[in-house]
Amino acid sequence: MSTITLTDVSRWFGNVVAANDVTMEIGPGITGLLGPNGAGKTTLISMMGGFLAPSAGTVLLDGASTWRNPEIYRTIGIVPETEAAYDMMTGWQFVLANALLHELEYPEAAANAAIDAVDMAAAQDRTIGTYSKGMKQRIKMATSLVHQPQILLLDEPFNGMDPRQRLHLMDLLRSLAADGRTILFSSHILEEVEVVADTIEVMVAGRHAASGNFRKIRRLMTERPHRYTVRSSDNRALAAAIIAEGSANAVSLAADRIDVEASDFGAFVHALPRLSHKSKIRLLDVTPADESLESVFSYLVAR
Amino acid sequence: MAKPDADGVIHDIGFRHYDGARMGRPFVVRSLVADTLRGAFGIGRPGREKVTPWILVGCMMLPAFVMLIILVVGPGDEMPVEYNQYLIALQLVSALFVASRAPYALSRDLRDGVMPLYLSRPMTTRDYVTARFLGLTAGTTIFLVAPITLLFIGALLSELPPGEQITGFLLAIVLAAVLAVLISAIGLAIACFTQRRGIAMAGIVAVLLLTNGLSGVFYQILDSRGEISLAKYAVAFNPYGLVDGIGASVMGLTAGNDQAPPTTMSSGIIFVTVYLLILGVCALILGRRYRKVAAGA
Amino acid sequence: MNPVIMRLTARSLLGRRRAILFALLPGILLIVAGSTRWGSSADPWATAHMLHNFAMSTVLPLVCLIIGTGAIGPEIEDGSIVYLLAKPISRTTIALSKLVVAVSTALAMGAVPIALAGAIAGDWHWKLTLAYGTSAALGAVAYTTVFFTLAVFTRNAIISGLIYALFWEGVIGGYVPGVRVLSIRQWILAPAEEIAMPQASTWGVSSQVGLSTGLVLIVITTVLAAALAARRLQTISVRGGE
Repeated sequence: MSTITLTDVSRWFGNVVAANDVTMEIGPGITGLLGPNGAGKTTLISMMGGFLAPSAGTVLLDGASTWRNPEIYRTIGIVPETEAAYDMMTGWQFVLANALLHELEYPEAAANAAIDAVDMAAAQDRTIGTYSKGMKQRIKMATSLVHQPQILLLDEPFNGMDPRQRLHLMDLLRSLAADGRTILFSSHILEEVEVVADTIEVMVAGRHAASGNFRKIRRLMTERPHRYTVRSSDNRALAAAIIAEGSANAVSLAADRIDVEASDFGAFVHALPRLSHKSKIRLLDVTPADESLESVFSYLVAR
Repeated sequence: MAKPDADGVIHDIGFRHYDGARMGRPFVVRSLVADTLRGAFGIGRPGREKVTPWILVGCMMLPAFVMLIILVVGPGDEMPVEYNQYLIALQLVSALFVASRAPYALSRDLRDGVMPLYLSRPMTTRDYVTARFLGLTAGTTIFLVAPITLLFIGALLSELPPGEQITGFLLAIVLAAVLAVLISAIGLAIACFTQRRGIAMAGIVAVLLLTNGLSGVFYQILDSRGEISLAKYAVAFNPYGLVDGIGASVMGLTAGNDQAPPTTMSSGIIFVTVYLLILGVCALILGRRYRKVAAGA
Repeated sequence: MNPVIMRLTARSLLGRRRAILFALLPGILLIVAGSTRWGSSADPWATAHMLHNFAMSTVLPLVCLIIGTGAIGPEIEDGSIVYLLAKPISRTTIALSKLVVAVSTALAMGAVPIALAGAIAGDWHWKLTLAYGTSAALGAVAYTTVFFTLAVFTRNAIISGLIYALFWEGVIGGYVPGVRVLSIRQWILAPAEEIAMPQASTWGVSSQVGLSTGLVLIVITTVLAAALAARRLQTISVRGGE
């Protein structure tokens, strides 16, 4: 049972802040690191994997720093993003070499087990140069599993996989997690994370936007107050009526419009026409405000 | 076009067809030449890519600059070195220039697998190679002409008799072009074999510079064997010596090499023939290599 | 020293087009040596001239450059170095294992052919062979390590190495006195001059630095370069592709 702890971790590259004050704990089970492209997922994984130092804060693996500490690789398995470039070796030789580099006691057995786990036994004697993209991905997985690591870090592992390979990999991750391992994978596709991960950590623009169980986050997102912009023939009177009616959380009056925040938007949307009709106010414009994923997440961040 | 249907509608989101004038093949080729030429000096590319070519430009111009100062300020009124001799003397720098720019012209495209993109345009494989070649040659010619222009300015400033200076200068420009064509061809012929810039560079340097050593050795050997006349043809083994020989035989310029090549009519013919042969071989190599690439693309 | 890393490095070094290049160069050298013998009737002066101006100044640096950068450059460039770095192996071990392979190859493909070239081209009591063989061996160690470290630090290792070996050591070294002292070529020629005594001056075997100076500088440079490479591997950021 191993845990990676990030505490107030920030990382900047010149003027670009890739990770902004991130605190999270990755424990046993499958954790999905979710976020749009450029959100800082690869940066975080690089820091956890000891390939990048945090500009501020600490990244600890069971209490030990991951930076400049090759010993962590006994516990961590990394599935790198690069294409496996040892084209001249066979799959078997490559995985075996990795096993030897890990100084395992029974390298051949470990290599065999790893290759079987990724279902590459049939192709293991062909050179990697002849592999398809999916096969190369699987061999990469095998190299990361060969030393039975407690922690597995995968950066966008489902990229480029066909549905069958994806299912296979998901099954593999589940069986590894069932043994008590800590698995972290990153993705920008909600559905992948939904199916496999127990816990989700959401990253948006370098910030840790949300974490927890997927269903809870979903509910948070749908229960957030919706914002509307309303223009009418008499904004002040209408604003008063909306507040009195009760389905809105907050109403603010601007120069030429009303901004409404309603958590129960269903009720609000039904109430509004009734109100305006009763008060004899003409509705000119009702627009829901910015519905982008970004605004959803920024709402989550603000909380 | 909106097509109303039971479950779905396709919207017209404003895709525009282009019905205007299309510029055609010559324009495409010209653009590629211009792009190669700019890329040779890192123009239009991030700063990192400007470093190497401009350091080499600096190395190439520096001695010329020093000579200009000496000419103008110093007492003598003789050119320290003939225009064409300068090109031969600084062969190392121009070799490095071609060695580093030729891979940029070819190896990068091979490595990134973008050949299908190039070849699916109204441009044939031959156009592509020719365009790259012209661009690199133009860049190399500029590289070679710049320092001797500096020398020419120095000559004018120190009021040397302009008549012979102008002839010497113009002939040197021609020779520079001749040299640029040769070393660019050789550079590209080597670069097209590998996707790795570094190896291509090392290979080109090896060919351009080692041949110098080789021709020197052959000269020594033939010379000490008493075959003086044959020895003088040893320079042909080395692209710079070859061009130097052409300059000496065909244009009557003073040779830049220590091993004074022959200057007769027949030697001129021999040198030019060898020159064309090498170009032909390079063209063949490039042709075959890119036919394979096009077939695989 | 990790045998797996050494095997991987040897495999990648010797198995590519790179190998053609650094097999060709010594081949050409030997041909030149043979021709020199035929042409000069085994005159040691000609041999020294060929070794000094062709073998040591062009062939050796080129061979060491290709081998030194080839031992680690490609892996860093395409990101596959991550497979070595994501292991519980000290970065020093990684660097040294690779260096051992690189230097051995450089000795075999650079130093040995140069010694052979001396013997083939015509020697006097094996003096030139010994002198330049030693220089080339030292050069194989020093050049290869320096170029290896260069490749760890920059993607432009080859062109930088070329500019250094050919331009700095060759051209500038010919004109600016101070520069000659800062030149690996001069350091490794110092033992050659020593060994070739007393005929060193007749044959043209000379160096701009004294023997002890040269040897000390070689050792310092090699050790420093190796240490820098190991240090840099600790913090290198791994990025795939171009």
